[in-house]
Amino acid sequence: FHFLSRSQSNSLTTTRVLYKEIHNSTAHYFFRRISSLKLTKMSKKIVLKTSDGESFEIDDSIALQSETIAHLIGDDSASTSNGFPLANVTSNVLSTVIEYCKKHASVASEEELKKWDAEFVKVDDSTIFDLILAANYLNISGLLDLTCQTVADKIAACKDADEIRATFDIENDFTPEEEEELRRENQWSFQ
Amino acid sequence: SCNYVVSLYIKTFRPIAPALSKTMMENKNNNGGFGGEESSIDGDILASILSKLPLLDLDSACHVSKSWNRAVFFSLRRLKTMPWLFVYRQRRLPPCTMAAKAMAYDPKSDKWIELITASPVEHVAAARSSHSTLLYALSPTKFSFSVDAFHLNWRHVVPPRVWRIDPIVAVVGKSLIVAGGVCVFEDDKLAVEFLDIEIGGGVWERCESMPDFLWNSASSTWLSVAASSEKMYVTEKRSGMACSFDPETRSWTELLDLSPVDEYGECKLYSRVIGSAGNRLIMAGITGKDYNPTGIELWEIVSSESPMNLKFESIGSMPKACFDKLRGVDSDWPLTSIALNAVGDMVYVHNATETGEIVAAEIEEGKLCKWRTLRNADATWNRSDAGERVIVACSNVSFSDLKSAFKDNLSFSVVSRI
Repeated sequence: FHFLSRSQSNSLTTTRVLYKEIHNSTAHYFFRRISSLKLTKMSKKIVLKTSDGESFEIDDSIALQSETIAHLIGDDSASTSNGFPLANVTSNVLSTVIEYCKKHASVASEEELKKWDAEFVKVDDSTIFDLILAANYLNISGLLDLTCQTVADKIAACKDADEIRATFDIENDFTPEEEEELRRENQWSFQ
Repeated sequence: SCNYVVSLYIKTFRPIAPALSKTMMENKNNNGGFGGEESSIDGDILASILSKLPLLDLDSACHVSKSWNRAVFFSLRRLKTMPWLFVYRQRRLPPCTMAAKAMAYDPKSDKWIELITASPVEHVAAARSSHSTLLYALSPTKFSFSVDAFHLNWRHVVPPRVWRIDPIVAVVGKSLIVAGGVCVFEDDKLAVEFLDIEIGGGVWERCESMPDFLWNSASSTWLSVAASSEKMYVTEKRSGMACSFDPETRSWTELLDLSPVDEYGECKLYSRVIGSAGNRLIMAGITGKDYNPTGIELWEIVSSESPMNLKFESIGSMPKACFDKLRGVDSDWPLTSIALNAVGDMVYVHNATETGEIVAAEIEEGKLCKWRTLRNADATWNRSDAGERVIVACSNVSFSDLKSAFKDNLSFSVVSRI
């Protein structure tokens, strides 16, 4: 790729940016007028590659919500053109993460975001866990907080340890003696 | 063995647990949720999740499995403790037993919890609370006090030498201070005595009396007390005349004036109360007039070297909706004074006449936010009958406090939403 024309200034005048992009051996030219009120510098596209081989192209303003990516961009700008490989994230999960980042990069009131978040987490357990792992790997604090809180709420909804184990299918590896000791003493069992 | 059954807590309200999704357990690239040998939700992430749990749920979490137990331990470091509000009741007439049932509000779960103790404490006098964390009862024969989180452990010492009614009482560090009160037999009704509570069998010692300006108002009816880790602060609720006491030097500072002025140089407060939240000195004041109160404002009081150079940093004002609920249905009655319970990052305010609803707010980055009234408000005042007094306190409850309470046979039952 190469940019045909690019305004380097950070001035507040409207800038016309020309992109040349090769997609399936067809060239598409885009003219884009970027409002000077929203951006004072040019927006770059970042390419992310998932573990199952798909590529996602997103604005850097969205990608930078991930501190992991922000550090990678800072360190090695040469790999921008090849895309950042995300070994631990599948395309399903990444597209959901990008959905979250897009919403949180947009202009919305706190209340609106809260409502959107509440709907966003209405997914099955395995998706939530995938999102937690992705948010942790990509270091997106807002998403990590949101997903962890969702799981915490599910745990809090359980009456006791038995119900928690049943809900999340966890094996009880305490022996009956250890359980009794745990109940009796004010100590931590792994000491 | 049977004792422990009593101390397991019971939840009276919960939704049906979500159905287990078996796909969660299928190891697709080791993404197996919590279970499985190589759980990819590792201890660190689990600790983050658990740190968001309210305390009672943290207790069940630590019984789930060994790795969860370990994760609970690590979660304690990043746990944000949110102080609970306690509402105790006591029989007015002898025997002045504390009621076996008390109510506690946990701001993290936004729920009321009923506490039932197997061994209610019996006092010989009215129990009161001071600066949120201290409960005490003063009688001619003994002085009892409690500073633990659930106020289950009471210490009894000899009463101060000067007999007084309604003195101000505070615990600052290791000093228990009793000052003022209505004294019948003593010339100096501003007498101050203190006791070192770390020494067993300590003796009350007299020290410098309260400043003269408090001559007519030196009792807990007119004064509001705050206790930081180093000083006791006392202010006249009406006038804002205040001073502080240092138990190290056993002396009082000069007069302070807790009257923040607006841009016109006027102080709009007619009544104020103070509290020490974390290491901040907080003041809540009612604006307007007592027959026509207009609202409640809160400040942090910052003092520089020169005591007359007090700075009042506004930290928030109560939203009108909460203020109206605080006044209650009888909003024709004058609002003479309010009670403030401020510990850590939580602030609770209620009408001193014990009517209306309790208002709560959190301190975040130095400002108050998340204003709300506590749900199930009738869980507090209306539960008591005429033969009972209500005592409100507030304390930081840690996980080990909870464990101790279980050992002391305190049972917890979360109250369902009405």
